[in-house]
Amino acid sequence: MTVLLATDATYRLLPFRFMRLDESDRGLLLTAETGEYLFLSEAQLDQLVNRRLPRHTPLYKDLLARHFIYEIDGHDPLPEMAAQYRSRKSFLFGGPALHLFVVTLRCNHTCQYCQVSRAPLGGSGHDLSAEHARHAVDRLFESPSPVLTVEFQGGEPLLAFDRVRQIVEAVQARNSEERRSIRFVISSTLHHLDEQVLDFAQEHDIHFSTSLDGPAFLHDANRPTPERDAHARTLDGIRRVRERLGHEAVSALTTLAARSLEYPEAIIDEYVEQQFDSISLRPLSPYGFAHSSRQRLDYPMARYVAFYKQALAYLITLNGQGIRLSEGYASLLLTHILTPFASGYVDLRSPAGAGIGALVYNYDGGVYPSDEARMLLEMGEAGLRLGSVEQPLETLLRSPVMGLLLSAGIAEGLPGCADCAFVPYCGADPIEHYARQSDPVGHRAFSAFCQKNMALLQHLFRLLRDGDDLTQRVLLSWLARRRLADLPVPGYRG
Amino acid sequence: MPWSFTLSLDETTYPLGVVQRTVYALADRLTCLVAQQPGRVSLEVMPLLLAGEGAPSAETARALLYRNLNDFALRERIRLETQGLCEWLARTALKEAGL
Repeated sequence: MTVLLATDATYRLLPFRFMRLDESDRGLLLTAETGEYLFLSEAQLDQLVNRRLPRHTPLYKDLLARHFIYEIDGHDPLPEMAAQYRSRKSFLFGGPALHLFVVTLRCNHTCQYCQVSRAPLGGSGHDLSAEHARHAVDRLFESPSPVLTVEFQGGEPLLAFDRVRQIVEAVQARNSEERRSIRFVISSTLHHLDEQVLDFAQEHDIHFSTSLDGPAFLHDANRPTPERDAHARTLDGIRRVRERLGHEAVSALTTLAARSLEYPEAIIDEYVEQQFDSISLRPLSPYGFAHSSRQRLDYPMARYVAFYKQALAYLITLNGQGIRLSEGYASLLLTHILTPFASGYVDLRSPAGAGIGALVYNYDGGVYPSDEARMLLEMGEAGLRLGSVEQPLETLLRSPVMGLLLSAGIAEGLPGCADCAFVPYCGADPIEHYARQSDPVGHRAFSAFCQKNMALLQHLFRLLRDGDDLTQRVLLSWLARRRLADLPVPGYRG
Repeated sequence: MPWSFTLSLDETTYPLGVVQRTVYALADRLTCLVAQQPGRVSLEVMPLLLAGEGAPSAETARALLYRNLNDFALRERIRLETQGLCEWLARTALKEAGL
């Protein structure tokens, strides 16, 4: 195909993508390779690509400033574009920063949607050994990242608290020489908290993450215990952690089963009542018992998206009334859209975060590139194991599994994604595609991952384009992690 | 009886790569058989069986196809005009990582 490039125009195109949001006169979303964006009409896009844009118009200046065009004899934008691109991909430079230790698969809950395929409370052979834990700490410090997060997962990690203690003490002893910035988090039901655990957590500045699926009738239905008091005991655990360690020492997230989708306001009201300042409305995943029970629990992604939009609208209303509660996924998408910085969320990156950004040291001594990869092990799929915890990190990251994940984990090169206007803000998830479609690349038209992110990004962009002043300010407050009342008001005061 | 129709496209206007990307993007709604003849690309189009009652009508499918064909043709034009810049950006930005 012969392409005739106009040589008498004052500007040239820089790489960009476009998407049709709707038929309005700002219905075309253009996104630059650096992640900047603009809304145009079809006529304006036609003018742009055919070199007929009048030079001194506001649109021309916006396109120039946001790196959609450059002037042939003007400022060279490529070095600053490279700097922006580097910021956006900065997670590539530090090595794995998130290290998950699965200290046990045992748990006393019987959650219907359990992703990890928990083991019975009295089961054997499902605990991380002391020797494997020692090796895992060695692997942790082979990562060059100056900032490390050590997250304890299960099952229920507090059932193997001695192992948690061993690992924390070993990490901190080693860190007296290494001098990294290390954060500890325990993902727990909080039902096995005692003073010993709280004393240790206070001494070592350990935070907690727990599940709160909404009010008692929803939480207890999703997460049954023999005593049928899961919700009450979780709230008690939250209270105890806050009393001893501070209000910010515990966070919570929801898992949405099919019935949850009928109650967006009730779920949000529960988080308001429990005085959280962030809620994560995450859909069911295709792992563990959620997969085997999908006939009963699962739902089409379109239904989740409808729930999410309703929940987001309610959250914006509440924030306008002075209640501070942000939605976690919206906040990270806004970081991707409105800043050139990476969000730190390993599941929405390109190249994919599995292995590069996170490592999982499983109870069986195996090392996996993500939490989801070790969940697949319990479903009979062991093919995503990087190796043994006794092997050096360099060997683990040179595993053929990493080659497979990276070859399917760069969204800019994947079919469908390569053309998508949202690719600067989205990511690749070869493990989810492998779990759902038995193919790490997957077909975008049938991808739940794509459907979710496409719908949520479209919704956020429409809010950014059309939202009223309150909506814009609430979204900005989530991005800035500040109270709405603390956001500066543009223009002259008084 | 499900509908079907065939489009015969000028390969200069709609190269094979553009047609393939269009077919890929609409795979959740349409089934398309792509064939090449000298200077032409033909598309035999029918509704995706799995789409059931959500399948588009023939008229909607035709409009959808032409809109997407034109959009992907424009994307290809932009890609050719800016060829090399994306690779330069990535290479320059990531060289400190040894990439």
